[in-house]
Amino acid sequence: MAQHVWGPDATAMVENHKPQDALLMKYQHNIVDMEQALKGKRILDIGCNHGLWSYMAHRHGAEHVVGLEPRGMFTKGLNAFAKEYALPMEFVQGYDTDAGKLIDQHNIDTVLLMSQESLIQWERLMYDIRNSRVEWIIMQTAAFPDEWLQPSDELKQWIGQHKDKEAKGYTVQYRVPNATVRSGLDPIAKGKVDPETGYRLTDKGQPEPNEVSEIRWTKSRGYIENFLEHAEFETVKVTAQDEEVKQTVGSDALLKLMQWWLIRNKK
Amino acid sequence: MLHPTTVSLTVRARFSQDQTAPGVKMRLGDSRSEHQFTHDQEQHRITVTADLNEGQHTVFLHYNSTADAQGSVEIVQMHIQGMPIGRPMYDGTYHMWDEPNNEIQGELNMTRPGTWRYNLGVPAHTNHYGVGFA
Repeated sequence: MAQHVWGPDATAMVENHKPQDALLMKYQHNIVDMEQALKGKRILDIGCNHGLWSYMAHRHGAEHVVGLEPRGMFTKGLNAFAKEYALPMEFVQGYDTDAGKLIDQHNIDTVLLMSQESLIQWERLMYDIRNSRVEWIIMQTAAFPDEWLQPSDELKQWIGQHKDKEAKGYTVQYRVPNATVRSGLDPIAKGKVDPETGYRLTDKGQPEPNEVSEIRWTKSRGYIENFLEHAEFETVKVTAQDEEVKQTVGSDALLKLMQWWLIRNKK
Repeated sequence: MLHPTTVSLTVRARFSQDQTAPGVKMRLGDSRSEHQFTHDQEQHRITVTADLNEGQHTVFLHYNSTADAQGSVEIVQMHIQGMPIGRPMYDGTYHMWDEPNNEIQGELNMTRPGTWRYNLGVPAHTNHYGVGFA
């Protein structure tokens, strides 16, 4: 699979691959603990990246898996992998805005949504899912505790103009400088990226060397809970990270911010 | 524990008819690879695989230091374990042999014989975004 995605340069890596602790933690919480929403189901993995979780969903009993990913280098390699081994998986090059169409086309039962909430218009996607045939959402988030932000007296007063109002979560918008990996998801940069890698390019076809920032929206745990309640999703279970991890490239798992959700789309 | 690590650099040569074709050598750990260009605008992907201990290592690309080396070589893409790393390749540093104290960060176009180097964290999949299964 790695060789289909990354080519012969991945050969040495996979011969001696030892999954890091953060990867095993994700496997436990997104796949092993979520089998009721995977087994016999038709899955849409939104933002499937290297396809590992799509494949694991298949290995854990999914009837059919569709992976959605904007970067062609992944979808092409993964389709070649699925074809070679006759796996019930297919990968579509597209954006989160294509999810609704794919859910209908493929009679999707379960959406796998891992670490997408700060990258895309998450609320719009959740509304699309809410209004679809999807029964289950397996979601991994990295939201910060609400206590990290304390509302000022002015904000409390403004929110409190109506006595029933209270702050129930926050979204923090911020810029990530020198972003490249996710440029392809940015509606402003979408037309200026290499469709294979998603990197923003110069006119010479090289990665953009100057500062290219992207906007992200990190949410608090209360915000996500509040939104799910508002959209009338049923949270069947939510698990907060309690494992300490050391081997990870990002800060989310290091700060123990991960949460795993099993959500039912009530009809 | 040793981590097999593969790095590729895609390098393009530019030289005129009256110039000597340049060559490049690449090194990572104890592994080496080299390539001699033969025509203008030739693009070649040069690859090394090394078993590396956890920690910081350096990838070197030498624009061969021969008396008649001419033209230029430009790094156009870098792959770690097969993953194109994009903009972070501008974090590399180039110096010309005849100006060893003039280190230029972000320069991918080697106009004279010298060395470009890039710091690599090992294992790569826990140190570089987008590399491997993370």
